[in-house]
Amino acid sequence: MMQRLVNSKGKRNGLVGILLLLVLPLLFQDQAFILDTMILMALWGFVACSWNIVGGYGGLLSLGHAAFFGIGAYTSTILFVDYWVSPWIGMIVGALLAGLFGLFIGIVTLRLHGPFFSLCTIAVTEVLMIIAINWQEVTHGSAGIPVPYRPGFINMVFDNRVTYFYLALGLLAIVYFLSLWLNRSHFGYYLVGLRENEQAALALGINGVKVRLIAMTISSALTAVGGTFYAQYVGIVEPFHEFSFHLSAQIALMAIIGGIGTAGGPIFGAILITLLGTLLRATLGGAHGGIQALVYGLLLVIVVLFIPQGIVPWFKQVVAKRKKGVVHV
Amino acid sequence: MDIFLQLLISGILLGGVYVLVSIGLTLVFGVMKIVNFAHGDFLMLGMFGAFFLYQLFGLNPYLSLLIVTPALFILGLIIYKTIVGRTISRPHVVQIFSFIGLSVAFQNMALVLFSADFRSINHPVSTKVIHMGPIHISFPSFIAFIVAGIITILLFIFLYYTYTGKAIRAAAQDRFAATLMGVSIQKIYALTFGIGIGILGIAGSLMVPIYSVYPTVGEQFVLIAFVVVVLGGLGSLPGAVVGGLLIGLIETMSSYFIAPSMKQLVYFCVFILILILRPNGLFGKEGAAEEALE
Amino acid sequence: MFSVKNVVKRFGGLIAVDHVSFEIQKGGIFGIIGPNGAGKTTLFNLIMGNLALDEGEIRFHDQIISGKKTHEIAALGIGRTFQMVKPFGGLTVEQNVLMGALPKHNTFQEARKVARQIMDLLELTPYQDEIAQTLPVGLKKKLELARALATQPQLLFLDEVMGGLHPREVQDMIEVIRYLNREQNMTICMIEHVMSAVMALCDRILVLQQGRKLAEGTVEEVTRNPEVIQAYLGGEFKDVTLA
Repeated sequence: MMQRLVNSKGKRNGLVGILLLLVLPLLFQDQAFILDTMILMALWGFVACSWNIVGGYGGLLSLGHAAFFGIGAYTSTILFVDYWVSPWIGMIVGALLAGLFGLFIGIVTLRLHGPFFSLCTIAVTEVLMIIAINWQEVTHGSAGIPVPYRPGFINMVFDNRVTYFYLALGLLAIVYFLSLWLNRSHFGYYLVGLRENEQAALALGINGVKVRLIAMTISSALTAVGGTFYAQYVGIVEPFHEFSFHLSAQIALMAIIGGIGTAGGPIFGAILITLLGTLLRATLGGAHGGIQALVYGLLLVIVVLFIPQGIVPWFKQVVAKRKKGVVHV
Repeated sequence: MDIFLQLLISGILLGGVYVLVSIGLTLVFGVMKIVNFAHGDFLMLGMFGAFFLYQLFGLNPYLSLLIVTPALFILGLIIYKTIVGRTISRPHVVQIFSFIGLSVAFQNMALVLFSADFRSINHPVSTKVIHMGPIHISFPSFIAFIVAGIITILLFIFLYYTYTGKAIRAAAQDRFAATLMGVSIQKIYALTFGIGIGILGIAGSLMVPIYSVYPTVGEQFVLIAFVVVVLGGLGSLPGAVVGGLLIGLIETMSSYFIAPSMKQLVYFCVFILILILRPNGLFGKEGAAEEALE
Repeated sequence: MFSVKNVVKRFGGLIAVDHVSFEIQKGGIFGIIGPNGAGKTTLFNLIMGNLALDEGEIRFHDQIISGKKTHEIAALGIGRTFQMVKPFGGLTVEQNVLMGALPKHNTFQEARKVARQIMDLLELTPYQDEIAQTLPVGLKKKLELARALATQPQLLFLDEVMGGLHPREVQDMIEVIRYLNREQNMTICMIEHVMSAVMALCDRILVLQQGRKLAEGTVEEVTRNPEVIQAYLGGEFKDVTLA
C-alpha cells in the first residue's frame, strides 16, 4: 500500500514536471541565453546518464567517453558535409559505429579494473584525437568541420531553439527511462552486482562478460547520439574539443556530483554544472572562463570526499533522517 | 649512422626528462596504491614557479630548483593532509575523481592567474648546443639528463639505505605488517606523496629552459608519465627508469622515421597494448594491477 | 553425482593440488579438512572455474565441467560461498539475496519470494534493509550462505561458513545445513576447520595435506587413520620440517 502511494505520488510529480518542461521553453522563446542553458542542461544530462550506465551502474570509471561523443559528432557531420546524408541517418550510423567501438574497447579491457580501465580509456581517446587531427582527407584536420546552416528538419538544423530543446528533452527522457528500467531489471541488478563484487556475481551464475559488454555498447552508442546533437546544435566539430580529456572528465564529473548509479543523479549534476557555468560566466564575464571550471573542480573534490554517493542520494538520506526524527519526537 | 647515433642520444636525453617526470608517480602508486591523475598539474605548477622566478627576479632556473622543489614538497604535504589522505582505502570513484577534480581546479586556477599564453624563458642556456663531432646535444637537455640521473640514484639510496626509506618500502610491501612494526602509515604516506610531488619541482625547473609553460602543459606530460610507468610496471622504480628511456627513444625514433605528428600515436598504442597484454608492465610484480583493486 | 579425477594445479614450481580424486554422492554431506595451505580453497576455485586446472577432469552428473566458465558452472546448479566473504557491500541484505535468486527466475516477483523464504530460514529478515558492508562478521557469513542458497543449487560448496562464529551460531548453522540436506535434498560439500561441525554433519570426509589426498572415508575411518592422527594431533610440527 505504501509502495503504491509513493508510486502514484511519484508519477504525479513526474507528470507535472514533464508538463512544466514542455511549457517552459515557450515562456523563454525570445531569451536565447536562457534557452541555450536549458538545451545544454538537457544535452549534458543525456550524456551524463549515458556514461552512468557503464560508470555508475557498472562501476567502470571511463575517462574516455569523449571518444564516443566525438565518433557521433564526426560521423554525422562528415556524412552530412561530404556526402549530403541527413544527420538523422548520420546519428544512427554514428551510434552504431560508436557502439561497435565501445564493444571493441569493452572486449580488450575485460581484464582491466579501477584506475587501469580509466587509463586505458584515456589513451584510446587520445589516439582518436591524434587520428582526427592527422587524417585530414576524412576529418578535415585540426581546424574541424563547420556544419552548414541550412535550417530544415531533414538537415537537423533548426532556426528555432525551442525545437532543439524538445529534441534534447526527448533524448533525455529515453535515457532516463532506461535508467529507471535498470533499477528494476535483471540486467541492471547484474551490472550493479558485478560492480560490487565481480567474483561473487559470477558464482551466482551471472554472465559477467556479456553484461559488461552490453553495457559498454549501449552506453557508447547513446553517448554518440549526444555527440551528433551537439555538433548540429553548436554548428562545428573540433578534434580538440570533441576528443578532449576535458570533455571526458566533464561528462563523468556531472554524473558523480549528482549521484552515480541512480537514474536522476546525473541529470541533476548536469543541471547544476551547466547552471554554475552559465551563472559564473554571466557574473564574471567571458574573460574569466577558468573560474567556473575551477569551481567545479573543487566541487568535485568536495563531493567525492564528503558525499561520495552524490548530491541527490545524499539529499534523500538527509530528508529521510529528518522525517524519522520528526516521528520520534 | 651519424643520424642514428644522434637520434639515440637525443632519445636517451629526452628519456631522462621522462624518468624525472614519472618517478614520483610510480613511487606514490607503489607505496599507496593510488594513481595520481593530477600528477601533471603539479609539474605545471613547478614549471610556472621556475618561470616566474626567472621572469621576475632573474633567477637562473637551475638555481630556482632549490626554491621550487621544497615549495612543491610542502604543497604535496598540504594536499596529502587535506585531500589525498582522505582517499586511502576508499572506493575507486573517490580515489580517481578527487584527483581529477584537483587537476581541473589546478589547471583553471593557472588559467585564471596566468592566462592561456605559452610562455618560455629567454635565457642563453635555452639555446645552447654542445657539439661533439657530428653530434649535436642540446645543453639544457643534457643538464636535465644528468640531474635526472643524480636524483634517481639519490632516491634509490634513500629508499634502500636509510631508515625512513626502508620504512617507505616496508609500507609499500605490506601496509598492515608495517603498521604492526610501528611504522606510522599516515606519516609515511604524507612523506612519500611530498617526495613524489617534490621531484616534480626539480623536473619543472629543469624543463623550463626546454619547454614552454601553459596551464594545460601537465596534461601532455602526465599522459607520457602514465605510459612510462605502465610500461615499466606501476610501482616499480627501475621500471620507471627503463620505461622513461624507452619512451624517449620511441618518441625520437618514431618522429624521425614515421612523422613528428605520429610520435604520440606510437607511444599511446604501445601503452594500450601493454595495458591489455601485460597490465603489470615489464618490471611490475605479478599481481600489481590486481592489488590496486582491493 | 559429482567427481574430481586426478586434478593437478601448479603455481610456478609449487604444486597446490596434486592428483586429487574424490566423488560426492547425491544427498550426502561431504567434508574436506586439512591444515592451512593444504589446497582446499584452491580446489574450490578449480571446481568453480575461477582457476584453470593443469591436469585431470571434474564432472557434474555426466557433464565435464572443467574448462567451463564460472557462471556456466553456477548455472548448472552448483553454488558456493567464499571463505573471505564477498558481499555486494553497497546493497541491502535483501538485494544481496535477491541477486542470487534472479538468474533462475524470470520475474522479480518469483525471485523475491525465494529470497524472502531464504532470509526467513536464516533469520536475516530483521536485517533485510541493512547495507551489507555494515553487518557484523556473523551476519555477513549468514548472508554469504543465503545468497548462495538463493540460486537454489543442487550441489553447494561451503568454504568455512563456521569460521568466526560463536558456538551458539555454529549450532544454528549446523541445524540449517542439516535442514538443507534432509528437507531440501541439497548435496553439500564443505571445507571446515570447526571439527565439531564436521563430526556432526559429514558422512564422508576427505583429508588434504600439502595438496595431496591423505585419507578419505567415513568419520570413523578417518579419525582412526594413523596418518590423519599424526597430521592433526601433535604431528603437525614434524610435518612442517618434513616438507
